Amino acid sequence: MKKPLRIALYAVPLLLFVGLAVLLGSRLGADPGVLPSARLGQPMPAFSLSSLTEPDRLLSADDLKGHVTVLNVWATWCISCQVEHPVLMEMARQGVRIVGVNYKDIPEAAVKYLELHGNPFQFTVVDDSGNLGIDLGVYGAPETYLLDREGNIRYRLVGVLDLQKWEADLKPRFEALQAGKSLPEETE
Amino acid sequence: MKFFLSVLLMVSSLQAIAAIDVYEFESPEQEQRYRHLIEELRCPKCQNQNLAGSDAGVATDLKNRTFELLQQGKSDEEIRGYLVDRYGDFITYKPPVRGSTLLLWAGPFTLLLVVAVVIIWRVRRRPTEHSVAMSVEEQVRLTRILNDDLSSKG
Repeated sequence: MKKPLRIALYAVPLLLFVGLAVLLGSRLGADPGVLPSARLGQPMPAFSLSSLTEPDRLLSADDLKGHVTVLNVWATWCISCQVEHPVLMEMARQGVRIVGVNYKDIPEAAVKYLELHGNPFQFTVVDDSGNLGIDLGVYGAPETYLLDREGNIRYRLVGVLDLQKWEADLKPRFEALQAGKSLPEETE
Repeated sequence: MKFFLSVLLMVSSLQAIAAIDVYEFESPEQEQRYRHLIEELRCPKCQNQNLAGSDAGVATDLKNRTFELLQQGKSDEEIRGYLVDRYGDFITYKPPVRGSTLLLWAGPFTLLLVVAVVIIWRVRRRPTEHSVAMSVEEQVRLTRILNDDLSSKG
């Protein structure tokens, strides 16, 4: 066999192996349950839903414009939401504007929950049917979204928002948006 | 008594309705399309289940939505697009062919091609490597040995 061919015979499988190892290794340790949001960079989907605390008040996507907003999808049946509630309270204390989406919940139970644990939300949208959830691409509460002043979705965090994630992931982006700086483009 | 009976009837009939939560399809074709879609669409909450096989809350919601969209006369392609817009490529077991999914679609065929080329190449080379033509002297010697062998036995 000619020498270059012999080298190729061994080099090709080796390169294939290295390529595969890099590809698979890049996903190692990442939570496969966390999906990239298909809604990044897009405007908040339109909705017209009532407010949890003022049932006569109709809220729409326009109510989210004008401020950098953290949108938190929660429910009383969701245990992880109870875990992250103190973090939301702390964020509200720091002056972060948080809007709640009460997802597929019983409104009375949700009102009681907020009375008991405190209400970190500027207002809460009642999504009892889960339709807004589907439009947002919610697949499990809690989910936390970051919206810019124009009401575009700029970041999504799935699962419990703890203080560490707030400090490391959300807060820098929140502050950048508030300062009018551009975020690094979020890709898949 | 009449009033009581009618109320009782009303209540019992309501329960009967509540117990039937299956979908009412307009045609067998529509049902066929529904079954096909929920087989092909993936539950975003579960790691490896389609909508048909999942009991997760979000899977139920998405099955309901698929049914509603079918009722609205949407095509399979539109329904797929509707869900991909919201949940990304993850939602379907048949992601569209594009740059980021090229490896997924073309990878196995490329690998097959590479292996096929290597095998063909090796098989074709083998005969020329191993069959070395005999020289005239060797031919003569071989005949002699064979003949000797035969005559000594015979």
